[in-house]
Amino acid sequence: MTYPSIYPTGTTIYHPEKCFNGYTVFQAKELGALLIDMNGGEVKLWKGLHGFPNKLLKGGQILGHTGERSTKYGMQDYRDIVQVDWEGNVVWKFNEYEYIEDPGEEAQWMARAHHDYQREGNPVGYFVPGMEAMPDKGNTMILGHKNLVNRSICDKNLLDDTIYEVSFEGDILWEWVCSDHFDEFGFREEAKNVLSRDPNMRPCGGGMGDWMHINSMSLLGPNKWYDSGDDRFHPDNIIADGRETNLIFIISKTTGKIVWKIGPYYDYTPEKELGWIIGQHHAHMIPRGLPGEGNILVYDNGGWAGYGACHPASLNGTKNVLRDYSRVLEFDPISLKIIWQFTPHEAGLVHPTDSNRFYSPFISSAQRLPNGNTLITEGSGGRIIEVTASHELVWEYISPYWGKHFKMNMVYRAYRYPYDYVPQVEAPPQIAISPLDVTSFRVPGASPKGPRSQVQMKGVVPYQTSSALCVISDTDGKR
Amino acid sequence: MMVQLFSATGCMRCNIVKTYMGMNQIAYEELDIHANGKEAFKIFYRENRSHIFRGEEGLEFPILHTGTRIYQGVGVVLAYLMADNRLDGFVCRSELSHGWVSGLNISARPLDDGHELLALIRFLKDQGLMIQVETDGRNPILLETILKEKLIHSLVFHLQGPAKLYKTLTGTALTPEELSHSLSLLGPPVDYKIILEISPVPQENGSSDWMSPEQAAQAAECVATATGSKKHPFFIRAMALPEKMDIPQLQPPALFKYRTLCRRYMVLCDILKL
Repeated sequence: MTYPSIYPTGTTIYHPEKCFNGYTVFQAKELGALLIDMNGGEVKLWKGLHGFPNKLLKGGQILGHTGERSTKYGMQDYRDIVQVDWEGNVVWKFNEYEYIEDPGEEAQWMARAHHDYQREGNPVGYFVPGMEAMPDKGNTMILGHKNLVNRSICDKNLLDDTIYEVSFEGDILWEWVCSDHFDEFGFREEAKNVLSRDPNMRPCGGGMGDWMHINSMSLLGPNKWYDSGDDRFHPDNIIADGRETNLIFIISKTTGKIVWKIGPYYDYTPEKELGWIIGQHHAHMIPRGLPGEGNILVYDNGGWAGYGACHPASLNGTKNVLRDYSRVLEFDPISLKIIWQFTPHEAGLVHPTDSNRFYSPFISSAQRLPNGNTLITEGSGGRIIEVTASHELVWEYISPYWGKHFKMNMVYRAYRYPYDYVPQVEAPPQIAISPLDVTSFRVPGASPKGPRSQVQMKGVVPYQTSSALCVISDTDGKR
Repeated sequence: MMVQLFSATGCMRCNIVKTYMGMNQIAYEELDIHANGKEAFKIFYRENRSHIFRGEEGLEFPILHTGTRIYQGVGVVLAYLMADNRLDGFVCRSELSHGWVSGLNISARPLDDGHELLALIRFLKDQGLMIQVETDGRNPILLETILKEKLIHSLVFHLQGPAKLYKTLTGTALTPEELSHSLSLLGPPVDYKIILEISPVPQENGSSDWMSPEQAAQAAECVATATGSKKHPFFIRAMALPEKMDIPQLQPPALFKYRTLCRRYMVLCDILKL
C-alpha cells in the first residue's frame, strides 16, 4: 500500500471536548521515556530510560529499564525493572532473576524482563479510577525469560516465558514457567509436529526457540465474573497472550494451571465468533470502574503467526495464519461475542482494498479510558490514536522519533494518565487541532490543487456509485 | 545351595558380574532368562515379585539368589560378593543405565579407609562402566582418593546444610574443615552438581521446623568459601516429609526465599525440578 514519505508528525488531530485529556507516555525510539501532552508538547523526557514498556506512577515517577542484554546472546532480555523519580534518580530496582555471563560482556544479574510488568495496586498498569499502582511498596509481577529444553515441545534450546512476582524488597515470591503447561494449550498434532522442528528459532545466543512469545501479562483484578461465582476469573489470576501461537489465556495464581483460553484455533471452535486472532498484543481484562469492565480488550495485529498446516504461504507450517490489517476487539470472555471493535471498517477504510492502512503486524496496544474512549497504539508506524465508542477519531499523534539503528518510528505501547499524575507541572492548555485538508495542503514549492485548464467532455456517462475493481471489496453491490 | 544368577543374553552388567565370579572362583548356576532359565525365572519371579524391582525400562539384571536373599543390579550384586553385607547403605539400585552406573553413596556411614567400597568402584571402572557417585561431604578422604584415581565421571553432592547441622541431620558430626575439604574437591573433569537438601531441623523446644532460608544461605556460603567460586551448578530441593512429621510440606513458592538468599553466594542456584 502507498505510504507517503512526507507526512506530519506530532499531534495531527485533537478534539479536546471529546477526549480523555491527560498525559501520554511512550518509549520514543532510541531516545527514552517521553511524556507528552495532548498537543504533543514534550513535557518530560527521561533520556536513555528504556521502556518495554514505560509506565507512569501517580506522583510523577516512572517505571522502565536501564538497558537490554546484548542481542548477540539474548532476545528482548531487559536487564532490570527500575522506578525513576522526576529528577531521574533510581528509587527502586530489581534485577536478581538470573546471573548472566555472556562472552565479552560484564557478568551481571538480570531480570530478563520483557513486554510487561505490573506493580501491585493496579491490575493492568494504566489509569483505573481508584486503583493506583503503589509507588513505595507492593509486589511487582514481571514477565521474564528463561532458557531451557523441554522435550515435550522439542529438543532445541527454548527461549521460554516466565512470570514471576517480586516483593518490594526484591524477594522472588512466585514463579510460573510457560513450557510446564504445554499440554494445557490444546495444540493439534500438526502444530506439535511443526513446533518440534521449528519453535520459532531466533539466531541469538547460538539459536533459541521463542515458541510462545508472551507479549502481555496483567492481573484480572476484581470483576463481575468472579463475583458471580466463576473461579476462573479470580482477581489474582493472570491473563497473558502468546504472539506466536495466537493464544490468549488465564493462569490460576494458585495452581499455575490454564483455566481459560481462546486459541490457538478459531475455526471449528467456539472462538469462530471472533474471527482468527493473529499475532495479538496487549490482551487484558478491562478493569472494574472502566466502561466495558470485565470484557477482554486486545489489539489483534494480523500479520503472521501460528503453527499448523503447511500451505503455499507457509511451506513449513510456521506462521501459517496471515492477514494484512489489524483489529481492536472487545469481547465477552464467556460468550466470546464481540462487544465493540475498531477495524478498518470502523476506521472508514474500504475493505479489504484499503484495510492495511490500519495495520501494525507487531507491537501495539489498546487502553480503555474512563470516558469510554479507547487509546490505540498502532505501533509499527508510531501512530497513537484515541477513538470514541462510536469510532470517531478524536486524537492522533505520530511519533517524530525514528531510530538510528532500527529505522522505524515504532511505538511499542502508549499509556494515557490524568494530569494529576504529574504534580510537578501545571496542566497544559488544550488547543484544538482540526484535521488538515490533505486535498489542498501542499508543501512549499508544490503547485496548488486544481487544473490550470479544464474542458467538460461530451458523450460520457457519470462515475458509478458501486465499484467493480480487480478485486472484490465491501463497496461491491452498494447503491 | 549354590547361588543362582539370573542373567539375560547379551547383558553387559551380567557379564561384569560373571567376570568377577570367575576371577574369584565363586561357583554359581547361571540361568539365562532367554534360554535355559526361562521357565525357572517365571517361577522365581512369581514367588518373589515384591522383592524384585521393575522400572520403566523393565527388570534390571543380573539378579543373584542366595537361597535366602535376593540381590539385583550389578552394583548391589558385586557389593554382596565382595563384602557380604558390609557395604549395605553404600550401594543401592542404579538409576542410570546405558553404560552408566549410579547408586553409590560414599557418605552413608563413617568409614575408616573404605577399601572395600574403593575396590568395588575400581572394578566397575575397569569393566568400562561410567560411574556416578553421591556424597554429602562425609568421608572426605575417600572422595579425595576416588577423584585422585579418576574413578568416576559424575558426582552428586547432597549438601545437608552448614557443617554445624550435620550432626543433627545425619547423626554424624562433620567439621567445617571436613565439609570445606570435600567441597574444595569439586570441579572438572568430573561432571558435578550440588543439591542442597532442605530438611526439617529439630528446634530447641523439641519440635521440628524446616531449615531456615538463612541456614540454607550459610550452606551456600560454605560452598563459595571452600571453592573460591560463586558459580557452581547448585540446586535446592525440599525433602519429602515422613508421614509422622507434623509440619506442612515445603512447597515451591516457599522455596523462592531460599533461592533468593542462596543466590547471594551461588549465583546459579535454582530449584531442582523432578
